[in-house]
Amino acid sequence: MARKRILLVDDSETSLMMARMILSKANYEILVAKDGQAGVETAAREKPDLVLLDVVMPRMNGFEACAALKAQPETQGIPVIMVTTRGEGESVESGFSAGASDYVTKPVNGLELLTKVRSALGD
Amino acid sequence: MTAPDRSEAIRGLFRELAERSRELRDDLTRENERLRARVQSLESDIGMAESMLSKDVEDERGEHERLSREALSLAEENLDLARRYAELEEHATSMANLYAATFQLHATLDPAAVVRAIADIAVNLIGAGEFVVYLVDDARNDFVTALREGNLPPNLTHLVALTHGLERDAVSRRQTVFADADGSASRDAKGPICCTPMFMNDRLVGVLTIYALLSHKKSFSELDRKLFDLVGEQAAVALVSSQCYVSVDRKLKTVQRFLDLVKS
Repeated sequence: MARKRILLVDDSETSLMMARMILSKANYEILVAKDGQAGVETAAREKPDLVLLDVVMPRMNGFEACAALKAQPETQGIPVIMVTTRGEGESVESGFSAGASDYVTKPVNGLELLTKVRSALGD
Repeated sequence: MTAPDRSEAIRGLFRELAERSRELRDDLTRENERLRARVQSLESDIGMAESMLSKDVEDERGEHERLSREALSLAEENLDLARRYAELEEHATSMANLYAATFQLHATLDPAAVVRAIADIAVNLIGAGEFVVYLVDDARNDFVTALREGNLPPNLTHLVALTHGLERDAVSRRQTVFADADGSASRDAKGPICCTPMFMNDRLVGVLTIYALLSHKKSFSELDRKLFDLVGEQAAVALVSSQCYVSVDRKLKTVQRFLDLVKS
């Protein structure tokens, strides 16, 4: 069976490295984009099974990128998990309003991330 | 018919009735005996069935208890495995954090990129919301604010003397010092909650001072302490290495230009 593909969109090398190590271990194929705009383009091109989207990014922030993904017919069905530095209501609310399925807060807890990714992918 | 004859006929009728009654009684008695025997046989069968059923029920109850014990034991084992899995996952995340931090610190020979890597670690791995990276400026014998993050007061600008007790304490003890001994993040007005000095051997290279954690993070974890230790050592090495590289590279280019000039 083909491995499920997850697109990581984050401008932080450290965050990307961490997420890649956590998710590769669980046998997911990882794609990477380093800003919101590149994330939207990569998602449209590669059609991953899930997008993990950081909030604070150059060119296009995570909320805008999420809304753009949900506006495109070819990417609107892809579940999005927001990665935020703020776990309080307002930030979470903005994520859900933009169409995100779930969110995790930084610093990312490996087990929490895996659980939410598996749940979003129906694994 | 004469009276005696009628009387004899009636007697004969009674005798016949008596005979039939006897036969009927005998039949009923036999049938009663047969039915009694049948009832006894059935009672015996029911007794045996009850006995067998009771044994089966007893066996089933025993099996049920054994299975319940086994299920309980498996549930406990499962819980223990889940606990161990969570511990291993936490350990793996911890190792991944330390690896990522070390890798990022040593992935560049540009001092500014090393400082950005320190900030990246502070935000993404430690969860710091407000912090400053101070670097030692040997020429001025003071500290320079190399990078600041968060809503810090404007007086935290370029040149600063480390006047806060926590920072002085961290530098003199050469280890990370927390404002609260238990690692919780409560703090006084705008003072630091944690300070990590960056030493390479005996040379103080800079300090990382944290003023606030991200809003959803309430305290420092054991992993944060390891990350502070790592930043204290590895960031200093990375900073000195990158500064040396820049210095050597500049000198090399000067020598190269000089040689080019001599050749021409």
